[in-house]
This record gives sequence, C-alpha cells and structure tokens, in this order.
Amino acid sequence: MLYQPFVTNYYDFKVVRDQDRCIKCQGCVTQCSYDANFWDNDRQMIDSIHSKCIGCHRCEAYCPTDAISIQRNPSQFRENGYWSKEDIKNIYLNAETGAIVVTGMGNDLQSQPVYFDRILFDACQVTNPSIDPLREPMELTTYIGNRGRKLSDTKAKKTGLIRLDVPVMFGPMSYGSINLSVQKALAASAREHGTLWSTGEGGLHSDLYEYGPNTIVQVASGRFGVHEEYLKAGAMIEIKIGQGAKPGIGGHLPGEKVVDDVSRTRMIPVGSDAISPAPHHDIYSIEDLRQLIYALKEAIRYEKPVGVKVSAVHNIAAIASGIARAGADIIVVDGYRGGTGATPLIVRDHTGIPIELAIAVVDERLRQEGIRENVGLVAAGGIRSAADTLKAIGLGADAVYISTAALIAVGCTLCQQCHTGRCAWGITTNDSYLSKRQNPEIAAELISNLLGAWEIEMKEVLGSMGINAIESLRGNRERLRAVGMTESEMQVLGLKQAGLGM
Amino acid sequence: MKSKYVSIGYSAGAIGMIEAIRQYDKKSKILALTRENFTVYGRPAIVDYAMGKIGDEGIAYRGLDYSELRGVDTLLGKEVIKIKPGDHTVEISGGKTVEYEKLLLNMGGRPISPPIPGKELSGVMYFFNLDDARGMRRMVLEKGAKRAVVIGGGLIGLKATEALSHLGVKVSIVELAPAILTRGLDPVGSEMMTKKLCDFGVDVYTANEVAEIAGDKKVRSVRLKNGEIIDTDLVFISIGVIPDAKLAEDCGVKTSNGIEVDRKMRTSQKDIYSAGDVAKGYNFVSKDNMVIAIWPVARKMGYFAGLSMMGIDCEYDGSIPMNSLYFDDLYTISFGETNPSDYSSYEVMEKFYDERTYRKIFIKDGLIAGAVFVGDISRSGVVKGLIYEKIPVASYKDKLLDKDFSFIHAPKKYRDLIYTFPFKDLEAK
Amino acid sequence: MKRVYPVEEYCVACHLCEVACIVEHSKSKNLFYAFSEKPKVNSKIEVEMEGPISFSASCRICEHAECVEACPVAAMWRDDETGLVKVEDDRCIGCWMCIMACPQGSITPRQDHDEGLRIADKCDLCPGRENGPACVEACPNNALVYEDRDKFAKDRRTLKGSMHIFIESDDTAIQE
Repeated sequence: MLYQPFVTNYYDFKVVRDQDRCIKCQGCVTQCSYDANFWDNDRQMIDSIHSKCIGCHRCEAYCPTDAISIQRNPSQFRENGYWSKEDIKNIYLNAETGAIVVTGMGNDLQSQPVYFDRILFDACQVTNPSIDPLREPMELTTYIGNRGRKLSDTKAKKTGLIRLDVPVMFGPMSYGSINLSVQKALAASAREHGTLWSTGEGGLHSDLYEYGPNTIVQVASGRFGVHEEYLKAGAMIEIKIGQGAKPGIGGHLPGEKVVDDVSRTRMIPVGSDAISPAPHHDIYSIEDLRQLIYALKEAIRYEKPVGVKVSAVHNIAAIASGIARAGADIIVVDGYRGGTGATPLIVRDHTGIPIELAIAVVDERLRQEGIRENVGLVAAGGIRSAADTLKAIGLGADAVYISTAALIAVGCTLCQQCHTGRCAWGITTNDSYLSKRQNPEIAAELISNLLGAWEIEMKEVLGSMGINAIESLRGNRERLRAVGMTESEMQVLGLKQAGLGM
Repeated sequence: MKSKYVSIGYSAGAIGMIEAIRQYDKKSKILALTRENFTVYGRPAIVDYAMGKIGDEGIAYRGLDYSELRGVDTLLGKEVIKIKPGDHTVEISGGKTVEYEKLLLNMGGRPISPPIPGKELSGVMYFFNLDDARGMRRMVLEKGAKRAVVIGGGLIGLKATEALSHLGVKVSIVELAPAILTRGLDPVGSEMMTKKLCDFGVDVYTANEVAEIAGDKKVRSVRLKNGEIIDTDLVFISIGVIPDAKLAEDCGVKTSNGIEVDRKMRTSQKDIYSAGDVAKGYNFVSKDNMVIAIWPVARKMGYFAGLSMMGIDCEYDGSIPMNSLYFDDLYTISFGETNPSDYSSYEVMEKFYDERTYRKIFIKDGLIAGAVFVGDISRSGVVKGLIYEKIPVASYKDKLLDKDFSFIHAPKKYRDLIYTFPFKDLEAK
Repeated sequence: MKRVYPVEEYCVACHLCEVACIVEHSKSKNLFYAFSEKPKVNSKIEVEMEGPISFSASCRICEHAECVEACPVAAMWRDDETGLVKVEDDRCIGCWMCIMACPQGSITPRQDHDEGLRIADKCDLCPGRENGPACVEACPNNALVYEDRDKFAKDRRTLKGSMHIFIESDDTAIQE
C-alpha cells in the first residue's frame, strides 16, 4: 500500500459487499467512523478500503438490504501453533513505531483457561425438591458492607450496609472513556433495578448528580474530578488501587477523547492525556491505605461505606485480608479478563489472575481469619452472563460488577478499538459526530432489559437448585462441581470433581 | 340581492378571502362577481391550458365545483358598473344591485395597450386570461397560425412563447430593454434564458420595439424600429399589466397606481378591502407599498382581507416579489430584489456551476434582500423563509451559494423556532 | 395533529428513513425494485448533514400553509377533515411555485424525463399505513418522532403572515 507501513496490508477484515443487493443508500458510508466505506463517484457505486475495517460491524448492522458481510481476511500466514498472526503483527508494529501496542477491552486469549466454563451447578432431583420461581418467592436481594462482627478496634464507628435488589452492579467506566449518554443509561437502569453504577475515575458529571443514591463514586490515583460535593453525592466511595485489565499501572484516557465536557468534569485541559499514576502517591503501605479510608469516612461522616478495588494478583488473599483490617467496608476484586478503554496489550494479556481463583482464595482466607463478615466482597472482570454471576457468588462473592456485558447490551461488538475514540457505536467516545449514536432512552431500556433478563435467569437456576435466596448460595461450594480441572486447581477453588457426591 | 361578503373579481385574492372566512364561518353568504364567463381558475396555469396539458377541469381552481364546495354564490360574466360605498351597494350590468356588508376589491390588473398602429387587426392578442389561452389554441389549431411575434420579453411574454413553441409555432420575441426578463431575473439569468430560447428556435430581439403592425384585416407582418420586417400570423402583446383600479377611483377609494391598503387590507373607504394585483400591499424588504402581481401574494393578501373582514385581529406583514419562471427544462426561481438600480449598495455573491446552473444572492444591512436561482431550484424556498423571518446572514453567509444550502445551515435557534418544541428530557424511570 | 418531528440530538445520518420512504411510496413495495422503478420514486424526507449535525426533515404541515397559497390549481390542498396538506399528482402541473414558497425546502421536484413526469413531491404522512409513517418506524435511534405538540404552541397573538407558528415581535431578530 502506497505510503503505508506494510503491516497495514495484513489487515484482519474484509468488507464483503454484494453489489446486486446494494441499493446505494450510502448508509454504510455515513456510519463507518474508520472511513472504510466510500462512494466512488466515477464508478457510481460504494466500495471499501479493507485495511481500514476493524470489524465493528456497524455498517453490516445498518445495511437495509443485508448486502454487507464482515469477514476474516482470507489472506493467511502459514499456520503456526506457536507464532500466531497477532504475535507477528505486534512485532511489526513495535518495529514500525517504536511504541507500545495499545488496545481496548479485556484479555481475549484463547490459550488461557476459562474456569467459569468448567464449573457446573447442581440441581435438585428426587431427594430434595426444586423451587418454581413463578410460584414461590425468590430473593435476589443482598446487602454488602460491614455486617457487624466485632472489630478489634472498637473506637471506629460502623457504617451502614448497602442494599442491592439484584446482586449485579455496573462496574466503573469513566466519563471520557465512555459516552455520557451511556452513563445516563447505566444510572437510570441502576435506579430502576435497585442497584448501583459507578463513576469510574472520570468524575461525576453535573447531569448525573440526581442519581447519587445509586452511584458509586470512585477515588482513583489521578484523583480526577474529586471534590467534597462529589464524595458526598454517592451511595459508596470506592478507592481504586488497580483494575484487572492492567494490574499495577494507572488509568489512561488518550488526549483524543478529552473533549470539552470531559475536561470540565475531570478538571484537566482539553486534549491532554489523562494518565493516572500507577500507585496512589499517598498510599505506600497498608497503613497509608487505612489512613485514606478513614479520611474519606470522616469527610462523609461515616454515613456511607468506603470500598477498595484491587486487581486480582498472586498474593490477593493476603492483600484482601490487609484491606479488610484497614477498615474497608467492601473489597472489589477485579480479575484479569476485565475490560478497559485503553491498555498496553502486553499488560492486559499477561498480568493478573482469573477472578474465579481470586474470589475463591479471598473468601476462604477471610473466613479462616474470622473477618469475612466485616467486608462485602464483589467479583469483577469478565462476568458474561447470569451463570457467571451465580458461579462467582458460589465461589464466595456477595455481588458482581458487569461492565463489558453492559456495553455489549448497547451495541458493542468487541472490536477493541476503544482507545481510538472512534467507536462506531458511539459507546466509548464523546466525539460530537459519534456520541449521538447512543440515545440514552434506548440505551437505558436495553440495559434495563439485560438486568431484568438476568434476574429471571438467576431465579431459574436458583430454583432448580432448590435455593430461594441468593445469600444461601454465597460461598456455597457444595452446590458447584468442577470438570476438566487439575487437582491443584480444584483445591484452590475449593471445588469437588463432578461425579462426586456430598 | 344581499350578501354579507362580496368580492369584485374571482381570482387569487377572492380565494384567499373565501378560505379565511370559511375556516371560521360556514354560514354567512359570500358572493363572487366576475366579468369572465368561467368559474375561478388558476391564471398562472393558462400556459399549460394553451399547451393542451390541462383542460377546463384542470385549470379551474380545485376543479369546476369549488364554489359549491365552499358555499360561494357566483355571478359570472357580469361587469360591475359602479360601487356606492355610502349605500354599501354595487351596481352590476343588467341593472341589478348587490348589497354588501364587507366588500373585497379584487379586480386584478389589465394588460397595457401600447400605441402601436395596427393593433386592431385580427390576430393581435394578449396572453392574459383563459379566453386568451383559448384564443391562442383556436388560432393555431383551427386557423393554422405558424408564426408569432411576442411583444415584450417579460414574464407573460415568456409564458406565451412557451405555449406557442409547444404548439409548433415559430416565435420571435421583441423586447425594448437590453435584455429580456429584467424584472424577475438578473442579467446573467436573463442571458442564460435567452440562450435557452435561441437553442429552442426562438428569435430574440432586444433593445428593439415594434413600430407598426401591418396587414389587411389580419396580421401579416410587423416592422421593427430598426426597419426590419418580420412576417407573422399572430402578435401577442405582453408589455406589462397595470392595476384595474378605475372602479375604485370612481367611488372615492384612494389610489395611486393601485389601490392603497393598510396592514389590515382596508382601503380608505369603510368596509371596503382590497387584495391581489389591483392593490398595493406592503413589501417587506423595501418597506414600502407596491403592487406585486404574483399569485401567492394575491392569495395571502386575500386571506388577511378575509380575516380582517371578520373582525379578527391580524396584521399582514408583507410579501416580496417572487417568481417561478421556466422555459422547457430550464427552471429559475427568484425572490426580492434581483435587478437593483443602486447595485453598489448591495453585497452581491454569485456562483456559476455550469452554463445553465447559477446562483446569486443580494445582501443589504446583513440581511438577504434578493436571490436568483437558475437550473437547480431545490430548497430555494428556504431563502425566502430566511428573508421573511429576517434572519441575519452572518452565520450562514458562506454556505448560501452551495447547491445543498438548506435548513440545516440556518441558525439553530431558527430551526428550533420552526420545530418549536424542546426535546423531552430523559426521564429516569 | 400528529406530525413527524426530527430530533437533531439523535440523528446518526444513516439514511434509513429515506430508504423506508422510497420503499413505502413505490409501486412494488420491494426493497430492491423500488430503487429502479419507473417513474423514479424520490424520498420525501431528506437527511441534511453539516459537520456533526444531522437531521431528517420532512413537511411540517404548517398551520399557515404557504404551499397551498402558492398553488394556482389547488393541486396542493389541505384536507378539510384531517388537516393534512397533500399534493394531488393528477392536478399538479409542475409549475413548482410551491417549491418557491416552502420556507423549509420540504417540497422536491419530481421528474422523470423518460416518463414525461414533472410534478411536486411532498410527505403525506403515509396515510393508511398500519404502524404510522414509515420513516419513524425505520429510524433506529428514535431521531424521528410522531407526536402531537400543538398543546405547546404559544397563545394566538396578533396573527402575522408567513409564519407557520406565531412569532412574537422580539423573536424576529435571531442572533446565533
């Protein structure tokens, strides 16, 4: 390709257009935010520049005659079980630019195991009856926070619990990394379903203060948008130490995505990269964390819980124990499949541990130390369905965060181009051309439907297990079994091999 | 006979009045008087009638039974002799008297008859009303006329030319001014139209005039000022139209080359209103009163006259000259000032797209004062809207000459005004 | 009365409203044939795009319909009962004075030289269509709504000409 580095030629997708079906409405031309489709005035037809297609499927979705099919580029490198096409292309990119390869969303490697898919639920048969969710009351409500067992430090006041009508909350996605309209939709759905949504590290936009009672306000290392009113506005404060997609490094909002309103909410100049430092520069030890937690509690007069979010890493059990003793009311553990708006590819795919393992060990350790009831435990990082939710709860979580799933509900196709700010679905951008594509009313309905559907699905599974309250499933390893795992995996998870009885 | 509302003349102005009244009042009597022997019809469509594209049913306004539809009494083929404002009566030919409560003067205009020797010969016609259109058809289709001279290259002359050309007649236009269509188009547009006419086989003589029409009982030829002779079977005179205001003058209504009306369409005489080509309505851009002999303007004036007659509080805020002129497949639309005498006091923008597509805008005091569109007339009405609503030109000036200039280039506040209502705020359920 | 209103904030310029309009007003009602039908079928709603702003505008069925005023043969006519303004193809002579009059540019010239067609074309709100106007149903982002906003109209003040709403005198000088 002329004037382009030759890695451009090894593109992944082709826009296959059936010209017989094309009515030349040019909808695909206006909809592609990557300039892959164009109107050829000389030939009076629509054509595509395949190398620009990143596989978001927007044009395919909007084509009225189903004339477009986004397909894998048939041009293949020789099959290699060790050097994948991605490995090879990443080297080309490094060589060409001298820069790190940045990407969006979560770890997509197939080579690493998915424990959720190897865990199975029990069901009731004969000896104990299942429950019909349509006939019997089924309780999905749970409470997270400090449940009041004695702490060694009795001088510290206790804060209240948060009630969740469904054990699913929306994870932190900052304004700037996603469209304000999507945040509005998340907030509206959270309010409707009696759960919480999170501001992420981008501050709380003035239009969203009315949703305060359903909002988790996050305090991240960059402290973007943090001020007194902000802290008081939410139902819970969350100190973000790390996130599953990039453990150990800070958040990153590329300058292209910092437009007027975003800059105002974050309190930074337009167009500047918003990079959060890796550590909080006032937290260098567990004692520092305790100090910050209580400083925040003082600021909001102990009215609301303060939680801490960490990435799932090797020593997560000990870390969680330390955090619980530091006074946190809620611990959020974010597994390595978690998504993000921008991260170095190399960190995303190779750092951290799966949430299934992390939750299991944290739950076990806190119980052993007798402090499990002093914190609420939230699992995050790649929860894809009601099944994953229940499995996470079975492994020890009180509730889960969903983020990627919520974005998929409003149209995301996981093309992993969030960092470019050109999201064709208008989800991870606030660009004036593209942000219109998310109508907050429609988005709110879609996300609400998602939660509603999962609620019913959860009730069905719980019913089949003969359980009528979600809290009865919490940490209940006995109702789960493992398939295709090694002994040590089952040991870490605390699960029995499928086939074995009680 | 008595009627609450009476109209002298049954054309656009009367239609406006009838539509206004019948919107609110289905019962009161309305009487329309006309000297023509036909119900109300769309005068701009006589060219289509002459071409044979439409017939009586097609040219009659809303078909032949409009009067019945709207419950309007009519007296066709009657000439009004005298108006007596004091008695509130109108005397018509045949000795009848009509008593009115409110009277509309809608006499329209009449073609100017120039002092050319020979104009009484058979074959010399005007192209002004339906009878003229019928006459043209008769002369060509029955009497076999093959050639015609059209005196006056203005709007009506062009229409006559189109009809004649369509009927297969060889036409020569003779225009006094250096260019045809000086009212209605600017010099560039006029030149493009001239070229179109010539390509079509029409001869165009400018800066010339007919000195004499010659023939014996029937027209045989005309002699131009410069001595040239053109053989012809027909002569159409279309050098202009003046308000037919004699009736008004005679009964004491104030006129000055047209009946004077105020912003409620009232004349100087109580209970007498006026609308249409005979009246001098308010010109929004030039801010004075003038006769604008255009169908939509006449209709609107009539509408406001009707409202005014019913006692509804209203104010006619004026019109501007506007024209939709076309010949064969060359279309033009123009608004407002297109050929100002004080050219230098305007800011003028123009753009040529090709030899038959062109756009020109006149700006004065930060507002659009006039526009000419040749060739591509889509969405031209938006400019008219901007003129009417006096939207300052600053925010969209650079887009005005674009072919796709439209509503989206107007200021957002103007758009919102037209669509009026704010977007519903997102409601959390 | 109910009208189709564009919502500028949510139009993504996908042109699906235009596609739906063409199919709905074609003879074949078939997505593929509609575009090659003779005489040519135009869309009566038009997507306008300028930078990031876009919206799809169709006839507003003005209270004071200037197109009806301009039509010399009453081909453009307001139905007394429904209040809808419609152009009658059989009466229309293609003089296009309505196009000159419409302050919103919603009337389009409809021509087909091969078929000898020359008339004016305008939205008719899809009469008889079960789910209402086709464009509203086709819009994927709720950028077109079909609703009655008459109750929001300002009180009738002194009736002024030309406007299809009644503008107060201090609103006429609109600065950006």
